[in-house]
Amino acid sequence: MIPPRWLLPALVLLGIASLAFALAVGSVDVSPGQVWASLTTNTTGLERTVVMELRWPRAASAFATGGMLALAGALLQVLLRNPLADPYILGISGGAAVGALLTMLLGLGGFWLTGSAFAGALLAMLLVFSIAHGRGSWTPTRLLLTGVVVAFGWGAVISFILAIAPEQNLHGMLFWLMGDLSHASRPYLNLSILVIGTLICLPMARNLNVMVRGDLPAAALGVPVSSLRWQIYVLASLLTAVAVTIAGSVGFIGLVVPHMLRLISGSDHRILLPASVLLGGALLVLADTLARTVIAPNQLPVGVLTAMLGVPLFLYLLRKGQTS
Amino acid sequence: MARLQTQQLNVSIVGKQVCTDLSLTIESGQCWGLLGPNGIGKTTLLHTLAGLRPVDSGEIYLNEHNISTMSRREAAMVLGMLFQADNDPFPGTVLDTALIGRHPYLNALQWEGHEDIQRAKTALNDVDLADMSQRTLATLSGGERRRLSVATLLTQDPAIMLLDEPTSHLDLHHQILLLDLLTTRVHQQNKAMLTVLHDINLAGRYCDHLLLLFGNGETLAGTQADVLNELNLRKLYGHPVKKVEADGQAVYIPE
Repeated sequence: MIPPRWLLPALVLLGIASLAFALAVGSVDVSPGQVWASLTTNTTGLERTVVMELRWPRAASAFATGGMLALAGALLQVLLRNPLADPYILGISGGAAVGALLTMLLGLGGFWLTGSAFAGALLAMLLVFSIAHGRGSWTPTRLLLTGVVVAFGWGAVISFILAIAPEQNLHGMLFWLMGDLSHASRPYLNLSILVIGTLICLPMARNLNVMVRGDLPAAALGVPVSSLRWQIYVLASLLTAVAVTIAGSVGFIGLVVPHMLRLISGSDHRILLPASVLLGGALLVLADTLARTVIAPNQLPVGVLTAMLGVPLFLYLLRKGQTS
Repeated sequence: MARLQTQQLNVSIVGKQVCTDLSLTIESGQCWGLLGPNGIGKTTLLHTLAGLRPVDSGEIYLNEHNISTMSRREAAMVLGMLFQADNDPFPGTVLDTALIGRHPYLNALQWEGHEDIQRAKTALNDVDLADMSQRTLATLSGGERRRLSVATLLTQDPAIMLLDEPTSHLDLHHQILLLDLLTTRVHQQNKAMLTVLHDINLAGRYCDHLLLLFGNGETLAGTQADVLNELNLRKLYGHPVKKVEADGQAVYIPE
């Protein structure tokens, strides 16, 4: 296990390094000195345009998206008391995907795409919540089953749209479904949402440590369980909704980043939540940089890269954890 | 001082009456045993007394404050509960788990200080887990995990302890060690405890008062001398029980 006092500083460095890598690498050669100059001074020229107008918005949005997904994943794992939960397990990405694909089917883009993806995510969140709540109590199992079944429903609608979509729309739709950051914009808005989300979560962190042990034990130790559940559900859902709105359904980060951190540094959410934000952000920035460079000038959907990077890393940690 | 008091308490679960108009006073320094057959509602009653499920009617007072006026956190500083089973979906260490007991005393952004850690270590030492503080939960045996839960409760250090089968999974030595430890706390620090037990002889050895749940809401509460006898036990469990003397102490054996 890595002690917390090393983990967070190391992850901050990793985050900075990933952003520097993303700004420096691409089809136009930009030296580290030029990257630095573009960031700190008001020079003009091709390098600055490439760094500040193409790479920075995309890298910053990637960081924000990865951070939100990992944070939402960590929260949902507590809410559902299940280490296999991820931000999409309750069908939020399914709702967003249906919204996004429908606008693509109608040939709309830009604001309509973003808006309908977000609306779809919110609809999915309300739908699962109202069905799972029903009458009677709100157990993790009931919520999980409701979410998983509703997600299957969204999956069917997505397949239906793909089946009837004209050929020329399919490529864009598949990229959206696998996660794609090439249309990401508004980096500062995205980063602020991440920062605000993280700041709201941090005071809950010790409550979460107690909550994973069960609702009754948590209540017996003074945790206001039912209000905390609502807060976690709404917060995780909104973070996921924003993330899928920015980048489509980037897989893997939300499941594996918090889990990986639990393996290397334990389940104290006061460390785990900020660490998830940093590692999720850094991992998605790296994956996205590779996605736009490995087969340049063509691009890969970033979701392919997150899994390709994440699967071996995760399996390695799992194996190491077993042997130690 | 009345640590835990109920007035005209009615509790039921799925249409089954657990207690009817139960008025009970547990004073500081008293160790109460809660006896009854399986499925009669012992756990339900404990959860109700801890404020974790609603009452049908009646009042519950902790340290003479009505529990319905207390926040969960305020209640957790006075009353602690040992649950029947433990649930660890995520990895964690023994020391971290014991430290959870300090949760009600810390503010949202506050970290455990030196004194909190010291309390947790003392509690681990008390339950014979001192050398395991850095072990992960997955490596503990059932009995060790049980003792860890007791250590968490001791770290919480509440004035009222509700215990649901504290001796389950424990070997003979640790059953005695644990009940000695808990009852000594109660007597020396003027705490109070109510514990579910299935071993009549442990109840006879450690509990000065007993509460029997017969089903259909019928209860019997009183000192051990008044309540613990062959007749009541036979009625309670639906099984004949014989009293014998061993070293001057009464022992009950099933016939």
